[in-house]
Amino acid sequence: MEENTINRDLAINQSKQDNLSATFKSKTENGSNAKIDLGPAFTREISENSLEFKRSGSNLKSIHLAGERFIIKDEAPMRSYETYKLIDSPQFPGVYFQGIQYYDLKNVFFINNTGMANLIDLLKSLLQKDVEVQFVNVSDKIKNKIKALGLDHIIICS
Amino acid sequence: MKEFYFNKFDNRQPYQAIPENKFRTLLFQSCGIITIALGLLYIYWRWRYSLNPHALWFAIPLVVAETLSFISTILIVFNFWSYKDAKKTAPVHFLSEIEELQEGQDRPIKIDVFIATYNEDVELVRLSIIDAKKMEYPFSDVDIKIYVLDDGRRDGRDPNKQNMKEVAEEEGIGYLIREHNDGYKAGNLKNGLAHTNGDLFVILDADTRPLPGFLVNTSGYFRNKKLAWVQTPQWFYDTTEPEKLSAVIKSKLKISNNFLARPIDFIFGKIEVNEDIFGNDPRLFYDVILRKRNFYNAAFCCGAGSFHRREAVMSLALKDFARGFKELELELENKHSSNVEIHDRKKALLLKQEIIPFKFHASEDIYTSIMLHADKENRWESLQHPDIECKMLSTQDLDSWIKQHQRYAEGSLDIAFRDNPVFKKGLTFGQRICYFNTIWSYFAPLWIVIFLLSPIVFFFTLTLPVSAYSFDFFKYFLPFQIMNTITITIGCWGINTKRGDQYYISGFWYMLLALISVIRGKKVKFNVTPKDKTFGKNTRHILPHIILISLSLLGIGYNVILLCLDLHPTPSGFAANAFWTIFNIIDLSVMIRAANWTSMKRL
Repeated sequence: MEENTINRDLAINQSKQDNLSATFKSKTENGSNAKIDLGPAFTREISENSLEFKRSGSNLKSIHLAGERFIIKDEAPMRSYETYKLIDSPQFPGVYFQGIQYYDLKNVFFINNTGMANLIDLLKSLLQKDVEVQFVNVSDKIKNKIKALGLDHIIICS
Repeated sequence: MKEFYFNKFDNRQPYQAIPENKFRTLLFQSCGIITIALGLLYIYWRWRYSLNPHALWFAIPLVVAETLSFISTILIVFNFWSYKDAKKTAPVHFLSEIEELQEGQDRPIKIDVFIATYNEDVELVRLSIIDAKKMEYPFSDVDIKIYVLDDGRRDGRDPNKQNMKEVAEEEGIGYLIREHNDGYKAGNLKNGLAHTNGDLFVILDADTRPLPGFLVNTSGYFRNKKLAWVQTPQWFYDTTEPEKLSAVIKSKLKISNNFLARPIDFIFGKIEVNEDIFGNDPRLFYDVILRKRNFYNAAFCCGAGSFHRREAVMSLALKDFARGFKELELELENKHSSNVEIHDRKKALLLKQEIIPFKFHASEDIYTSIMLHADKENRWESLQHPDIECKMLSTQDLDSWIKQHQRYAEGSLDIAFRDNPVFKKGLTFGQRICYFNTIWSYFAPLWIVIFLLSPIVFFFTLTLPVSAYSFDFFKYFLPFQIMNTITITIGCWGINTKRGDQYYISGFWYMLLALISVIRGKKVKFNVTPKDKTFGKNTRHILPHIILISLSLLGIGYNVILLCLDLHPTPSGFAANAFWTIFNIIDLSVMIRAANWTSMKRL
C-alpha cells in the first residue's frame, strides 16, 4: 500500500515536470524492480551518494561501512565517498525531484545509532551539493527513534 | 627491534587485584562512620571553642582549611563504601548477546581496536600493534580489526618524520589519518569511529600494550545491554625500581670504591630507596577509588585500556548534534525574519555541525563518562574491571609527570566550572557525589597551602591559630586523626599509600597553577604525555618546595634559639608545629628527589 502511494506521488510529480531525469528503483511485492528512468546525470548523483541497507543480518540497521585497510585524509564529508566506493552495491531506492532526494525506507525496520549518524552524513554530503533529503515509508519505530534523539527537524520523514 | 629502556621490564608480572571481602568492607564502613562522627565533633569544637580571638587572621583560614579537608574525608568514605564487581562471564560471540536485535538476523560481533598516536616513536607503537595482534579470542568468525589512528600524519609525506603508515602496513593493520588535529584525541577517535564499524571498540594509547586475555576477559560484560564501557586498570610496568641507599650515596658523591658503602650498609642495613619515585603506582586509583565507584555506577573512563559499546557513544553524539543544531536554529530564528534567509542559513549550520562521539575536551574521557551516565533515556552503565589487561609506560621525569597531571587537573576543573556534574540533570545522587569527589580533590591546594604555611607563620610570628595546644585540643584532634588513618588504611587495604599521600601534599603547586589557569579562563591544552625520558629542567616545578622547606628549617632554627634563650612564649606551640613541619618537609622533599632522580643503572 505504501509503495503504491510513493509511485502515485511520483507519477504526479513527473507529470508536473516532464524533463526531470533520475533513476528510481523500488522493489515491488513480487520482488521485481520497478524502474523509472529519469536520465544518466542524476543516476550517477544518486548512486554516488547512496548507502546500502541490507535486509539480512544486522547490517540492516548499521548501514554498511568502509573496508578493512584504507587511509582517509579528511573527515565527515569524505566519509560517504569512501563508503560508496567500497560497498558491494551502491544502489539504494530513491528518487531525485525538484532539489529533493527522496529515499525509500520501506524495507528498513530498524536503524541503530551508527546508522543514524550515517544518515546524517549522507544528508550533509547531499546538502553540500544543494540537494535536500527526505525519507519516505519510514516505520513508526524509526520515526520514534528519530524523535527521541531530537533529530526530527534534521532527518525529515515525509 | 629497537632497544628501549623498558625492554628489561617486559617480563614483569602485573599485580593481582585485591579480592572483595565482606568483613573488611563492614569494618571500613563502621570505622568510616566513627571517623565522620569524630571529625564533626572536632570541627565543631574548632569553630566553637578553639579559635584564637587575638589572631583571627590566622585562626580563621586554618579552621576553614581543616573544614574543607574534612569534606574530602567524608567524600572518601562515601567513595570507598563498598565493592560491586560485576560477574565475569565468557566472551561474547553473537550480536544478539549484547544488543536487542530488531528484526534483523544475528551475526558474530565485530570489534575494532584503536591505537591512538601523535608523535610517539613508531617502533614504540609497533610494540603495541604486535601485542594487539596477539590478543586472543575463542571465535574465529568474530571480526577483530586493528587501526592506528595517527594524528601526526606520518604517512611518508614528510621525510623528516618517521613513517607510521609503513609500520601499519608492515604489520598488516588499518591506518587512519586526518588533515587537522581538531578535538585532539577525541577528534582522532571521532575520525576512527567514522571510518570503522565494530560493534565494540577498544581504545589504546601508543604505549598501551594489551595482554592476550584483554578481549576474552572483558567482552562478556557487554551482555549487560546497558553497559556502555569497561575500563581496565592502567598498569605502569616500568615504574622505577628500588635502589640501595649505599649505591645512591656512592653515585651522588661519585665514589667508586666501597669504603663508604660498606659502613652505610652495616649501619642502616640494606635500605632501598627511590622505589616508584614518581608515584606512578596506579593501584590506589584503579583498584580502590575507581573500582569502588562500581557500587554507584560512577566509574569513569580513563581513555587507554577501555572497551566501549559503539552504540552508547553514538547515541550521545547524535543527541549532542541535535541539541547543538536546535540551539543554533533558535538563535537564527531570533536574528532573522526572512524565511528564505533562515532556510539558507540553516543549511550552512547543518553542514557546520559535527557528530562528536567523545567530547572535544582535554579530559574527553571523564567528560564523555559524565554525559553518558547522565543520559536519562538510556541509563548507560560503566564498569571498572579489577584485573590488569594491559600495560603502559609511566612518565619518567618530573616535567612530564607534572604536565600530565596538570592536564588532568585543568581538565577536571574546567568541567567543574563549565558543566558541573553536581548540577547535571540525569545523574544519580551517588554519581554526583563521586564526580564531585574527583573535582573536589583538585581544589586541595587551597587547603594544603594553608597547612604548609601555618607552621611557618607560627615560627616567625610566634602566634598560635588556636587558643592553646592544650589537653582539650589533643582530646578532639587525636581520636579523629587516628581513626581517620585507620579508616583509610582499611579502605586501601593491601596497598601502600605512602607515595600517594606524599604527592597529594607535594603536588600542591601544579594543582594551584591548574586552578588559577582555569579560573582565568585559559583554554585547557591537550599536551601529549612524552613516552620516553626527556629529563627536562625541573627546577621551576620545585622552587616553591625549596622555598617552603628552607623557610620551615629557618623557622625551626629561629625558634630553637628562642627556646635556648628562654624567650619562647609557647614551647608547646613550637613542639606541635615542629612535629607538623617534619611531615611537611618529608612530603615536599619527594618532589625534589624526583626532580633530581637519575636511575643508577643509567650512570
